[in-house]
Amino acid sequence: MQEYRPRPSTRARELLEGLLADYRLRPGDRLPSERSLSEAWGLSRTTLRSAVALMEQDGRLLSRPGSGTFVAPEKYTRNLQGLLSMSQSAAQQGRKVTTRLLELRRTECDKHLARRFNQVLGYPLYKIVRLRSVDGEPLMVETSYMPAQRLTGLENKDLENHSLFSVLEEDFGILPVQGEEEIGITYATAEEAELMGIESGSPLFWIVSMTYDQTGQLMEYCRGAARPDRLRITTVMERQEEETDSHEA
Amino acid sequence: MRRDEPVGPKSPLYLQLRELIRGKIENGEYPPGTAIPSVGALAETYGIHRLSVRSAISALIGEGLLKSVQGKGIFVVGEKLAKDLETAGGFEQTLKESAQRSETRLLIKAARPAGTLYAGYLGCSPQEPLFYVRRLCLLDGEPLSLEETYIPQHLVPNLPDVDLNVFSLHQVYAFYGIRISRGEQSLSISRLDSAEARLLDVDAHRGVLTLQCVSYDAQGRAVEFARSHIRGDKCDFHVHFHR
Repeated sequence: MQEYRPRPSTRARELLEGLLADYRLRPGDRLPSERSLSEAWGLSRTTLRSAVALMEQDGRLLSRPGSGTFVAPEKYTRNLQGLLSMSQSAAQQGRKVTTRLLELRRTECDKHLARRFNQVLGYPLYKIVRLRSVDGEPLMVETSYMPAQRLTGLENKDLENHSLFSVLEEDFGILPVQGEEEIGITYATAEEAELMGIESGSPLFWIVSMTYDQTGQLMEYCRGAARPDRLRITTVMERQEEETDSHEA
Repeated sequence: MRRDEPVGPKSPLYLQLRELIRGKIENGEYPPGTAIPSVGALAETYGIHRLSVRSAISALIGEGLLKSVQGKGIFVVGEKLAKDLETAGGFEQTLKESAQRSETRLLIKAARPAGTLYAGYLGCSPQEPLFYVRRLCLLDGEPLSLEETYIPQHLVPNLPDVDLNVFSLHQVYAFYGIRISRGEQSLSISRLDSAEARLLDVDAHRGVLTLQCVSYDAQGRAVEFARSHIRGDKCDFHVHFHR
């Protein structure tokens, strides 16, 4: 069988990722110089430079002109199991979430929201727009919609210093029980770009999530645009084994 | 395995050939995923009529041991395929528009050592020999995703002889009694290099969805590391979760 010979660009990327993968280099560490890597790996400096540039855009490496290339901070990991709030899961990763409230007001269901909430046009909702940052770095802009009738007085809650889900649970007795999420790509609008400090038109995660409470009602419909260089989304797929198939393989 | 009556010298020739082929599948002379000799070649080897060869083969196709693929030949299926089991918690790919026809093009099937990166994902040594498989998936003739899979060679030693245009990797695993029971998946957005962007027919700056998955069998052995670059204009991912 033929031996696979990756093209130099592919090889450069694999070797660079390998440096990060086995923890010889930690976030914040400086990469060996371009010249020494190019000699050690037998790759041209141009090839290395383009691989570094791609990994910079993906949020794996950071270049600081004049001082070199560094391993980027670990991405914030959003694990879709367990329904942890962003603040809870960040805390587990030793990170801190901060929230800037950009908008909080009552609004009405338009056609699209009415369908999502299974309600008529004009059904009252709260709309909340928040900029979420992790360790002080902007990560995502989230727009949430929630039925207003069950949340009277939400305007008076401190949503910058308390997580939305903890307010819903402690002050309104509404608990998240299950949900679904759709994830795709979108491109930053001028406003999102400014809020998150990126170029307009750069690719972002587009995350639409629906969370249902203990009564089975849609408690929150949320659309978020998140920086992919700071976020990765993980989940675990489990396959249910059939009982009749439990014999030894 | 079904055996109606023992086959002896007085049995009809097609029955004798049927049991002969069955024996060669069982003893590994015809390994799963590979083509058996053509009808003409079998007829000539054993000096019997092509019609008898056809009867023997169609009986084995009926039993699910062989599979006939138009224009390619007769393939050994080996262990019967488990029907799709229910999965939970994983990312499901949802197409934005329905498609009439999907096809997979095999671009590369080759051997390589794991190296640091893939040794890390698969929990093996960097010297471990792997198979590397690269495929392009198309919908109605348009590229949808570029999929790369890394598999320890010792799990599926026969892979070089398997036609991956006929069998899926999951079918090949089933030939070896391997069932994927858990996958750790991670979704990100990445930029492609210019060659990859050309294959997917996208603008390199636009970014693609990249799904990485390490798959394990029921014993917790890492079976494969897979990376798919998927066009964000063609599909989304969907996941359900609960407390």
